[in-house]
Amino acid sequence: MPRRGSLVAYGVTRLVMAFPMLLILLTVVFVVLRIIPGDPIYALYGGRAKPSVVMAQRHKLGLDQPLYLQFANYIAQVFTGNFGTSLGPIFGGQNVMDVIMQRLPATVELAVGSMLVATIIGISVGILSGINRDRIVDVVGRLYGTIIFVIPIFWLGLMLQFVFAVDLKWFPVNSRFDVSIPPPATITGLYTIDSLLKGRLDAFAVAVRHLFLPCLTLGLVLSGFFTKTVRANLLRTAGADYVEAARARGIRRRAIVMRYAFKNALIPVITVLGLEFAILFAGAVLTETTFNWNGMGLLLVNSIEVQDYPLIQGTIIVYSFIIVIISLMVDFLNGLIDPRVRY
Amino acid sequence: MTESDDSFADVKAQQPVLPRPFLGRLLHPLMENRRTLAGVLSWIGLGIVVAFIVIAVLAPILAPYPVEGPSAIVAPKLQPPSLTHLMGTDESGQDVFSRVLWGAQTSLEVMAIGVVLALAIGFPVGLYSGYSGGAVDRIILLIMDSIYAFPGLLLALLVAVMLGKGVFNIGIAITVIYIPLYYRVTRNQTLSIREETYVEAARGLGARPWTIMWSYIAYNVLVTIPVIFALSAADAILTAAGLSFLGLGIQWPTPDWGLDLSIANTFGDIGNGVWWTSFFPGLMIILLTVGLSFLGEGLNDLVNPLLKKERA
Amino acid sequence: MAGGETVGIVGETGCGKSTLGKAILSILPPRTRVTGHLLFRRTDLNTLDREALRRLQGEEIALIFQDPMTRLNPLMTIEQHFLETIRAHQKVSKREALERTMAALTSMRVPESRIRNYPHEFSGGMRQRIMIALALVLTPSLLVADEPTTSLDVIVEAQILEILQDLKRNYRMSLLLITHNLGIVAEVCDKVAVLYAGKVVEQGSVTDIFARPVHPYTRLLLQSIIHLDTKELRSIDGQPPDLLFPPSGCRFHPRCPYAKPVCHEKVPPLEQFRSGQSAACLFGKDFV
Ligand SMILES: Nc1ncnc2c1ncn2[C@@H]1O[C@H](COP(=O)(O)OP(=O)(O)OP(=O)(O)O)[C@@H](O)[C@H]1O
Ligand code: SF4
Ligand SMILES: [Mg+2]
Repeated sequence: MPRRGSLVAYGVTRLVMAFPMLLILLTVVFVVLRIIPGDPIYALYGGRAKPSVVMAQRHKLGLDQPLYLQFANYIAQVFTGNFGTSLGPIFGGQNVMDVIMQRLPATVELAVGSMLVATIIGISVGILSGINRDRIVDVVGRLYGTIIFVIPIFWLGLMLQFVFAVDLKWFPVNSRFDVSIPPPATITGLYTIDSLLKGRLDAFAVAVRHLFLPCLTLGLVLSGFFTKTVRANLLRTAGADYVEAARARGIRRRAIVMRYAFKNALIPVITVLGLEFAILFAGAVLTETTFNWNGMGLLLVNSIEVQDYPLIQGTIIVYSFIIVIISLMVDFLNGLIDPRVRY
Repeated sequence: MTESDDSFADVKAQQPVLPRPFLGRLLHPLMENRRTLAGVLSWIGLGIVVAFIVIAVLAPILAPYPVEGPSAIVAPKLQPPSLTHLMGTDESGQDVFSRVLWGAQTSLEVMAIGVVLALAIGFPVGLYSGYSGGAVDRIILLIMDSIYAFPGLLLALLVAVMLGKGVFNIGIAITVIYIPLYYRVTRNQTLSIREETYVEAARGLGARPWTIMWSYIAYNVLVTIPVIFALSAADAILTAAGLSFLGLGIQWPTPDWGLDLSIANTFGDIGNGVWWTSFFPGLMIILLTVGLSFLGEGLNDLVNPLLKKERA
Repeated sequence: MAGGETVGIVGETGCGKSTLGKAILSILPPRTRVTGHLLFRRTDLNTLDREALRRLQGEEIALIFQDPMTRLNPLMTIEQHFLETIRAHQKVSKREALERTMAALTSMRVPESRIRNYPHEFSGGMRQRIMIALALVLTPSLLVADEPTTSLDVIVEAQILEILQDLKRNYRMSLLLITHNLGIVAEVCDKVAVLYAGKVVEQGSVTDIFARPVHPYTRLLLQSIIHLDTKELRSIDGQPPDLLFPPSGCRFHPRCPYAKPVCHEKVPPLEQFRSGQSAACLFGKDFV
């Protein structure tokens, strides 16, 4: 039995508590996809298809069964990882899970890169703002946080494309890789990692050049959120009793800012990290569309365009899983930094 | 919009005060603090928002060219900005400036439907949940929190696809995202107010739960709503624009900023060096959302400390 | 203060005792207006640059805070607090720093085994003892102790006072003891200063002040103890003043039974009335 207050015990509890959340999300998806519209296939086709086609599709997908049976089937599908086969013109006949897994790495690469940009820029601006309270640096930092957060991702993406890709030609306009050279052989599916694993530095450079603008776009918008939370919490912890006590012990200012004020300020920031990831994945859909980035977001948008019901459902379910896993990881990280929450 | 913004963190710390005219509670700090940073921001924000409402109402008069119907095609396509077409023309030969002015109408309509409906549902549910407590409260909370954790745009996108396009349906799709937000704020507020002495006193005197909820608690929770309202409105406009950008929101030929950006992107305008078809609609989105954010964050700084002081 | 001396600071709640303690450590919040001088070994602390000041803080002058619950960083273990403090001032090996930590904790009867625990795992009394150990680990030459024994029971209180006395003897440490408890002052202090509304109204040797107080406030203070037959301080008629808007003239005049009209206007200076005993009362000589 792991010790009370140990990381392991805490992790196990969290894992158990993640299940209700997953079930709720899956149910919400089911309600939205099957109950709200009355008939999903009809909703998708918008009344343009022949009734016989609609009937055939419904039967094929089991949508003519009673709802409770549909729900049971749906949950069974989710936990066996078998979401059926695609009906669309592009992936028709392919297994939905396979299609999604092909696209997942592109989204992961984009998400990680953006998060990196967002944390580095957002946290630095937040700290600068917080330790220079009410001075000009702070005013500029606060304005930055507020304004960058409400800039539409797709607009920023298009403008950065125009300036850096079309006008200055420093970066490619869009897509994940150059057409002139072959992408690295698939190992993880992440072009950056694969090219490094294969020792192809040229391919790595190409991949990073393609990643740069999309990650910058999404990362900048996300950084506003970090700036605001880091600043607010830094102000709170900078006046804390333990900071005053540390000053009385002659601890160096840098150490006080980092180990006392900043680290304590980080805790509330981490608890909302899950929400930041939610914004990240929503933003990734827009970024992928803007940069024609072949990830899950673009896959979802395309599947909606071609009324590929199994693929739409599958993508959303995978998103739900990702969200639950991330909120688990965030909880875990929280426990790692803050010994108090482990109890 | 999340709980960690200073705005949301502070909302929890707010305390109830005895009824005072509602508008007065907002206008008074605005007038008092004209010279502080928060005051200046609020006023700028308010000015921008009012300006956009005026633009939306007067769009039929202000717009130099029509935007719907065959007469809307007024010039060769993709003309750069000039004196006759201040913001150039788009792919179909429409005047971008006129579409951008009309777009304010669409944006504000969608936002208003979405946010007002979310308030209308999230507020009573939060009040009930927070007041009654117990298992019901915990279950509602778990459901709302799970929805809250899911990427809002994806959820709205699904609902939009299933409901079909059009201003009203997009408004409803957006509602789904913000119900958990209003729910949470209301519930947390209710929890803290419930324990206040004057509520306890009312309970002791035998007031019915319904009366307590609506006449004692609701008012004091409502005081915190303008801040959330402004911030969620900004977010709602962004989400609606995102939906339209993905081609799942407003439909051509209705003038809409997100839709105009979407069309520009589909035709690869940027790659062809045509920047004005995307730049101006996006600029409008930014101006309006910045205005709403300034107003929301400024009000939060002004009203919340005031509430704290009144308690002391 | 001379080396090895113990001075007590007494006064009502809210009169600025803790603020005085923080002022000595130069850790008042930024933008606080400070008047007057604090001399430590003939240097004015206000004239020191930040680094020189930092070197003094914790190593030469240490402070035990009044409220121990929130003074430790919740994210650091006890061990980390000690190592960090020692190494902020002295270049010593981790081994040696650890040994000193153990010694300091043991002297405060905190079990060594709990050195890797986090602050939230300790009770209030334990935290108080950890804070004291943390202040003493570098054997400062001046220790400011702000009600160091409030959250401890009587036996532990006696033990800790004993330890402080030992340190004084062994290291010639000076002790500035802030307290409500006049009994403790009588027991351990050499000198005492009485604070009223942020100002010293009387100071002198413990024997003088207890036997022959000059200032009306001090008298009332001592009387209240005798009458109530308890060692706790009881407040005197009237409200303590608002320190942001202190009364004019002598700050005690609204509550002073001997106040005359002139007391409303003239600020009484701290005057010597006996050798080593001074008070701030316009009519001090009448009370001698
Ligand atoms: N010299 C001063 N000038 C202005 N304000 C002061 C002064 N001294 C203290 N204050 C204010 O008075 C308040 C109470 O002071 P402080 O905490 O030092 O009281 P205390 O004597 O330690 O009380 P307690 O016995 O309850 O611990 C503080 O808010 C402080 O800012
Ligand atoms: S100066 Fe006047 S008011 Fe002050 S203590 Fe002396 S007699 Fe009392
Ligand atoms: Mg004190």
